[in-house]
Amino acid sequence: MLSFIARRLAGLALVMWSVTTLVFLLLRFSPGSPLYSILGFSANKETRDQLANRLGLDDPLPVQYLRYLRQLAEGDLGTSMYNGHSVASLIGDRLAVTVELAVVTAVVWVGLGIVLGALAASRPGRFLDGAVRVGSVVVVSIPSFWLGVVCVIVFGVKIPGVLPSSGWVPFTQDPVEHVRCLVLPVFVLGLGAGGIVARTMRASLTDALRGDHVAYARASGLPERTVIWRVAARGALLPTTTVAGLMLGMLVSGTVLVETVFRIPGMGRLTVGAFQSQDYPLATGCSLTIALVFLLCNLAADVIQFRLDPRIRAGLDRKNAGAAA
Amino acid sequence: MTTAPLSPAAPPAAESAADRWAARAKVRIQRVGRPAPLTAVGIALVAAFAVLALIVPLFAPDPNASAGAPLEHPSSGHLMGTDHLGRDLLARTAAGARLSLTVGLFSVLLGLALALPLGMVAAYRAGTWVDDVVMRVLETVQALPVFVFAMFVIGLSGTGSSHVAGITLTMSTKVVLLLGVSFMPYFARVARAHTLSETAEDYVGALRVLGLPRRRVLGEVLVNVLPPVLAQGFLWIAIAIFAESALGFLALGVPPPTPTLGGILADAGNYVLANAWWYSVLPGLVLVLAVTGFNLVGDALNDRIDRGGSR
Amino acid sequence: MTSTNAPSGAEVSRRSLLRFAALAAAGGGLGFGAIACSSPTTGVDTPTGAPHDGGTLRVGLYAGANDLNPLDSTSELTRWVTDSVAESLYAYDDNAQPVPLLAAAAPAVSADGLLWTIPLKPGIRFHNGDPFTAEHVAACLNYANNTSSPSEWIIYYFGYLAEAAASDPLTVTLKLTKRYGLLQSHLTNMPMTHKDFLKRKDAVMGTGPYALTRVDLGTGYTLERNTAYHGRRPGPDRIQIDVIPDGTTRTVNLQEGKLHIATQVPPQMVSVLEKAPGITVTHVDAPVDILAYPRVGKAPFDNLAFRQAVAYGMDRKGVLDKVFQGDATIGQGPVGPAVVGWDPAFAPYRTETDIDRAKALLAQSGIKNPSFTLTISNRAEMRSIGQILVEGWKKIGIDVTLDVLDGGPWTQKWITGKYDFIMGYYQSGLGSGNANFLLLSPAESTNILNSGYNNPEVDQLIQRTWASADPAERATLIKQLNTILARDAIMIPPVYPRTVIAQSKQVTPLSLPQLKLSRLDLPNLRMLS
Repeated sequence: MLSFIARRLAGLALVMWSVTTLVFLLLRFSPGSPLYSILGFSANKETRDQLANRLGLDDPLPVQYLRYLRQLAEGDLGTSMYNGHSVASLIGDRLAVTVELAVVTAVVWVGLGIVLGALAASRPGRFLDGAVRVGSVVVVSIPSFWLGVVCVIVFGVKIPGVLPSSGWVPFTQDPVEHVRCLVLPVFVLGLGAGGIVARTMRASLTDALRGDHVAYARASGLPERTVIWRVAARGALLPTTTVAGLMLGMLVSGTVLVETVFRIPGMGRLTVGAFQSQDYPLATGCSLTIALVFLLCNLAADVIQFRLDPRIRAGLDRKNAGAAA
Repeated sequence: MTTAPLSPAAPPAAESAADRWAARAKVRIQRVGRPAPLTAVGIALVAAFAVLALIVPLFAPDPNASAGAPLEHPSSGHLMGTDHLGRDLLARTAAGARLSLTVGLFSVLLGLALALPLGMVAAYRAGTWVDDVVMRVLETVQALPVFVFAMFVIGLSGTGSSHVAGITLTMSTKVVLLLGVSFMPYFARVARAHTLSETAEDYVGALRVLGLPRRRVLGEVLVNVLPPVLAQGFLWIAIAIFAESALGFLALGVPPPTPTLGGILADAGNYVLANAWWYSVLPGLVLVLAVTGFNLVGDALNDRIDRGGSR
Repeated sequence: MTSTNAPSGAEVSRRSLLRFAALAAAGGGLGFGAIACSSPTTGVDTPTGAPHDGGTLRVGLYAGANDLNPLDSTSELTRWVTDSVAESLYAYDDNAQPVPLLAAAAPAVSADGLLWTIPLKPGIRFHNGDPFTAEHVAACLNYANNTSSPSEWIIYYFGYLAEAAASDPLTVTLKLTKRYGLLQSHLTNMPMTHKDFLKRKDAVMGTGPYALTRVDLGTGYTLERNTAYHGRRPGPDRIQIDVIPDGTTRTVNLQEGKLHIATQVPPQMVSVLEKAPGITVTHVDAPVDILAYPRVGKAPFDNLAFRQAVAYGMDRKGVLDKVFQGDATIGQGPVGPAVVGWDPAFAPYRTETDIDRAKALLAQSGIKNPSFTLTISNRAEMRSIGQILVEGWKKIGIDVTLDVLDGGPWTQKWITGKYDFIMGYYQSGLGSGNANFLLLSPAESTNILNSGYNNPEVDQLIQRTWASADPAERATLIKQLNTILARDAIMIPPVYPRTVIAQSKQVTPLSLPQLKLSRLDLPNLRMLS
């Protein structure tokens, strides 16, 4: 187990390094220079050169790259080109908001998806099954930005006072309002993901219910409820966990639309702003953070799967054996 | 002709790969029979979307020209009403659908073209450094979400045409490239997984024993790997249409005046309060129904291949 | 839906599926119908009580400022935050005339016009307690006049101001290289900050009625009342400025009562808000411009007949009706209705597009298969304007490609001159007041933003305009300039937009004279009970 995690962590570090390189190259080779957006239209050539020099943009590319890597290795993401704040502190505040939003969304919708998917699978052909099958596909197809605007209008203008239509109140300031602020973004952000989880759960539980061990459990006279929830669901949860883990990573990156509509001060808006103002260090920091969160979620999903599923361990060993041979 | 995958007993080199594939496809079609109701709905939705995207633009007015007053209700003159600049909304939705479909198809094809060789080579050399390198490359691409990619490429190069090394890239091409590259890791994983299970099959061992060159062996494997990967690709057309519209909403997609479903919805969002319900609802329904259709059909394809697959 | 006795197979029956789908579709449709058709039920009760001090004033901006230093940026996104924090030497009274604010009196100008002496009010302190002195003022002016600082104000001072110095703690002297009557305008528009904060982009330290106490990058700003303020007591205890990029969200927030003031109300929301109870919408002609510069220095715009064809073929009416719902003035030359030198009788371009004339001019230009790229900034209104203009030009046979760019790349194109025709939305009033400075100076051949236009007559007129200290003389000169620039099709905005601000009736109305100069004057608002 430990060696599995260690191997995966090493892989993760390697991937982070290549992501860093990719981001660095993408930024340097894109047209448009940050100098103009920093200096505005008053700058003359000398001023621009001075600033380029101060920001180290006039060094040869490999020098810039090595300096950047060294900084990163020291845990320093640099400072924003605009306001001189440390990129890490700027990201820290926003990441907390986005991670909270993503985690709450994942917990709520994975839970809901599992329950709905399981109920659907346990009553094949009934209304709920049909509703889950159709509903899970339809909700995946509703664009979140569209749904978000509708929610803002419904809760802002048509039925005001029920829920805050937009905005963000920190937990420390007003816990109740904080939770109320979360409701609509969580609903809009997770709806599609919930559909995917419900679909996965329904499919894998349907499969599991056809399995020998379920037939055995039924034959030994266990009540159907126990058969479904205790025997079959356990196996069916495996693929669902994988999907949920992947989903969490995608939610963190996918909040940008929802944050814009509901004006939530999260990573998405920070990232968009960083790119719009061509703030190299901030844009790179944001991209790397998003990538890291995504990779960590992947890793977590893998570890859980590794732990739950003996077949993978066996497969891994066989693969290793094959490699050694 | 048996439906089972080629057993080692069958002379493997007797038929060409293409013949065998055609035969298998025929068997598969025979096995399909009448589609399940949900699948039928999906096929109908996809067909309707294709009609909208391919046929309606032939009859509709110029989607960029003003055809009436701004924000006219749907009427016999304008079946879906007009948009905020007085342009026929049906014409714009249809042209947007055409672009979405084109971008969807080409980005998936590009993703597949990149992913298949990578995934198959990785699987064929499973456990070696080749596999490791390919997997790390895939993870690298996967770790950067589409919108971050789009920010880099579009946010910084603008939504106009770009000239890279003497080649002019229109914005639609840029979106196709973006989406294709972002999809590549997912397709490659599917290709790798299916290649792995294929190479474990006896016939591959037999081919190797017979001394077939590696390229030929991979060709044989490809015949069996392609169907599930294509099915997966079909599902991703839905995701591509969706992603294109989200990019349009963030103003990172194809620029105006070219209509795109996302661009139309982004504009329309500003007019919901101004009582122009049709502007949001009708193109929105087109997008939802099209994506639903592709999802349903893609699911059915995947199910069928899973069930009728190599087991 | 209890009738779904579907067969016990895995598939749901076709009938129940269809019914479900129909239900879902109808539900969705009805939901939307309800949103769109039912009359708005919100709106806060219109208060009747007397205005009172205190409370938190909430303002919604459409974007966040990259740079909070008002000595760097003249953008409204910066200034609408910092105007309550940092004050100028002079302020505008209700007749748009300068009156001393941090200065003790009007500047004393030497006979040759090259030495300006400005006395400062004693006893004023910055928010951190430091006394406000001539040293700070001189530092600000020299910073703005320094080519290696990122200040936009360099355009305003460069070539005119030699040096600013503190001759004693309460006297500033400005040495000029040539006569510069317009300097009074710049001194009224440029805020003064603490000299230690000149290089900060994330903070501003001033003498104003509010102190900037919190910055949430890109999402909001908090201002707290300065209890030691030297002037009239400001109203609200706190001003909370939130960045709300989405126009619908901003409008809804105002209707909900979450905002007192919403800036940049999207034109299509105006009629909705005007019907909403508890909300006032103010339309005012202010120095807001659609910059529209063809690149005169290269083909095809080096051809006068072609420029004029483009100017006559511009679909001004389409822009007026479809983008601004009729709430704008048809564009002629650079000078619009809110600024000095506006002449309503000067109207070479009609409301309707003059297609025949445009075609004739195009033929006269001798350009075959004309085409160009229109570069616009990325804003909802600009995207609409761009699309309408492109369609309009198509009708006279010009093939125009639209290029939409975000702020940075757009500015870069403008500075480097790599455009055919560039358009952007710009509030010039915060830097230039109603004096037209920023709008007209690119016409001068030596200006960094010049589009390749070189007309000695215009250069000379511009020099004379800025040198003059007499507003009436300046107005006359600007009228002449405007006529030439319109005739030569150098600056051809499609319309002059109006500034539209919506506010809740829970606060006293914004000052109209200040709005006409693009200023919000937030400190003087009072809550109504």
